[in-house]
Amino acid sequence: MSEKNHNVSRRQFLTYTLMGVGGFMGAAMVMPMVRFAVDPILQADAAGDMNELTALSDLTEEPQAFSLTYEVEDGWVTQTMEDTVWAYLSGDEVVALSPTCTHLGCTVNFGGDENNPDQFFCPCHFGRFEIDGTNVPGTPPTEPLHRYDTEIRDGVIYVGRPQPQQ
Amino acid sequence: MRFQTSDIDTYQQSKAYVDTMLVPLLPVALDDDLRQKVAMGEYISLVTMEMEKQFRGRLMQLPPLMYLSSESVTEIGERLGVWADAFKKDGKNHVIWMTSDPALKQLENQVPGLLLWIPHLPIEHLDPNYRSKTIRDQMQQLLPDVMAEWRKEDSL
Ligand code: FES
Repeated sequence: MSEKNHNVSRRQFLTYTLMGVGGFMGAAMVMPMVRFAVDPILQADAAGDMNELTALSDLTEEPQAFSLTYEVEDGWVTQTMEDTVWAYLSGDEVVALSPTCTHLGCTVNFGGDENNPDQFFCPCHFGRFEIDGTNVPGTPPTEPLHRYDTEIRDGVIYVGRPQPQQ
Repeated sequence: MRFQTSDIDTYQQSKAYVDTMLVPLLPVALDDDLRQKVAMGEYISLVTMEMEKQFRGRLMQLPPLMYLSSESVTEIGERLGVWADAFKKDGKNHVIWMTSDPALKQLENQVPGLLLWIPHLPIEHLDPNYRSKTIRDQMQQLLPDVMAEWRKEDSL
């Protein structure tokens, strides 16, 4: 067969192909933008989600570990997650701290170190935190324990997600 | 930390803090006992995950180390020794081996590092909430052993 007998010339073929590819590339660029624009609307609710922790009357001045269950939606899959929250009363204020060590992520315990019964202790590299979450200088962590936003409704404590405190 | 790309940057920046390898041991045999083997493997994987969660800043969890159930315990023990030597060369001070296999219980005091023999509980029949609680309770019981291991400066 000679070149002339082709219904689609090489040039045309290339043009079509490139247009096709270009179209896909264009779509690939625009789609995420559309998603970014729309997504926050869909997720606004999730970010503000507060989950029930425990009854206010359960709290004491001494931090206690409570377990927090909440749902995470990842695409079409909903997963139930479980976290531990250390909560206590400081005067009238509810303090709820995350047990994740800010050094490399091990789990801290309150009073875990015999010599420092009033502090949070990380067994991994002996990181320590004051009761309000402040990292003890001279131990590996360089940032305080993250703290949960809290809300009290009808004697029940609700918490959001842990946030860095400075 | 886990053996996955998302954890490797952290690992490389903080290598000196990660002095322990965490290795689940998995028996494999496609025999009549298959069901039991799979259940043991599943259980150990879950407890290992929980351990990683608790101590992720100091541990590197490796993919499971498989062995044939037909291998002799001595052979398996020797193989663990080879791995332990390699970890030591890389500057690690501790290995935690995780197993539910009754056959390996006798290795408890023979292999380098800490061999945690954890009897398999049939949690596959439990309700998911109760299942995670069982795993966490199991983990709590292991804590003192891990702490004791870490009190040894260097056990390899
Ligand atoms: S992970 Fe807590 S001190 Fe290092």
